[in-house]
Amino acid sequence: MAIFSVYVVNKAGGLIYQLDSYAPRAEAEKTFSYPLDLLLKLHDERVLVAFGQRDGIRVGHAVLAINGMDVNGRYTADGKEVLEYLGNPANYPVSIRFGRPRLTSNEKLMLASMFHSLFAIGSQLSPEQGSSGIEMLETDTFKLHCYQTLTGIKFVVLADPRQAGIDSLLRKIYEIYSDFALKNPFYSLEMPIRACRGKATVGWCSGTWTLFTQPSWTLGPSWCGCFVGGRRQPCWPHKSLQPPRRLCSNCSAWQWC
Amino acid sequence: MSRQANRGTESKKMSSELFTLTYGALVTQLCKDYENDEDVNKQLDKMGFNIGVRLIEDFLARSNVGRCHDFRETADVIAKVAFKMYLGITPSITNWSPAGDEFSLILENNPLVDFVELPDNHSSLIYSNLLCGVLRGALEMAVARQLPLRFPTVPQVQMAVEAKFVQDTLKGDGVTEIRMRFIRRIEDNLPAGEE
Repeated sequence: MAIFSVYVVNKAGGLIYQLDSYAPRAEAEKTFSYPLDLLLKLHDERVLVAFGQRDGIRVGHAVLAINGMDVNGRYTADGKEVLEYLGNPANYPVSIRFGRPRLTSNEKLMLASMFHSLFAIGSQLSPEQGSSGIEMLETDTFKLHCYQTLTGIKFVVLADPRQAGIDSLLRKIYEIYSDFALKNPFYSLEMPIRACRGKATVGWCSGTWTLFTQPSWTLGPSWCGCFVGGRRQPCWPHKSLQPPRRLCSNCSAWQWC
Repeated sequence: MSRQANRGTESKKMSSELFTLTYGALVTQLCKDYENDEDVNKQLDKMGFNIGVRLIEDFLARSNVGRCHDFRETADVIAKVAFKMYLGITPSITNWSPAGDEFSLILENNPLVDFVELPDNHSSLIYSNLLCGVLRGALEMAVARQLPLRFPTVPQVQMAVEAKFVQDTLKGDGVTEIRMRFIRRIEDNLPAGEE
């Protein structure tokens, strides 16, 4: 898929919608015996490889799963600490899956706010009067395209550098957003677009990239799939303008709590 | 509901009778609920405002108009593009004030008031006040050209306008006239400390 992510940022810089559709990342699963020849360290609630790059396992990769079961940050699925577990010779041989760590929802929020600020700086730096903000940001592995509407909403798309037609995709996403934002009377403007029970995909339809979304709009609680403290946590919409404080950092899907 | 990519710019055709009837039912229900014409006018304005803040996104997404640099351009866009797109009529713009901050929209026929007759006990009811609210709401969210002011995080500023009916065919005038007045730019959405 040539489109990697879509971000929708509101006027105040808060992220109101996010969609990832990466192809499967490079992951490596290997069986290890004691002692582990990789040096692991805890960083930001994740267990990362600090030293010992080999066989597709690179420095910076995180521990994604142990013995087939996904780890939960620094804890295994059973609640034990990963580093302790791997330090105990009785648990070996063990099969560990390493891969590039996914961004948590909190991190995505922060990145979106940072981009919002950079966007404003971009338009101020311009030597010409009345410049727009950042429209494209290019790296060797992706291109970031941004479209700011006249009402201050920014649509950001990360795509393959060779992918063409992103401008029309951005306009299309704006049209779809205006439909979903407008036509649902229960959606408050500038609030996160909740899709706890919905599914969003980017697809190729009739010659253009299109965003297909089926959001669910409820005023009451919606059950997020994450188990924190052993219980399903409800998500309530927040009335304040800022994004809700509590996020499901356990879910890799885009959900607001 | 999900839209397919080939929807393009075609709009769904709907019977205008249904629209007129719906609006009429709305106004009569409001009259029953509030009993006082002034309150009904206020409610219609509020409802129109809520419609306007959403409608502007749809308008900007579908019509591809660029930024308006002054009030005159705004007036042109409202009359020639927006009214045409949503109500199918093209009002004319007249009576510019000398300072260029007030103008009148003259509507020859108003689709909201087809077949409507105002009874005597509702003589101060502004039947189409929803339109004023819509205009006010849409312009408040839309943007005028950025002035080279201090460092704004939201580079555009919004316009506060006032819209009111000065002539109404329902009250016996020949045409419907909406007077729009530019009040000020709204700058209170800059974050604290950005003053």
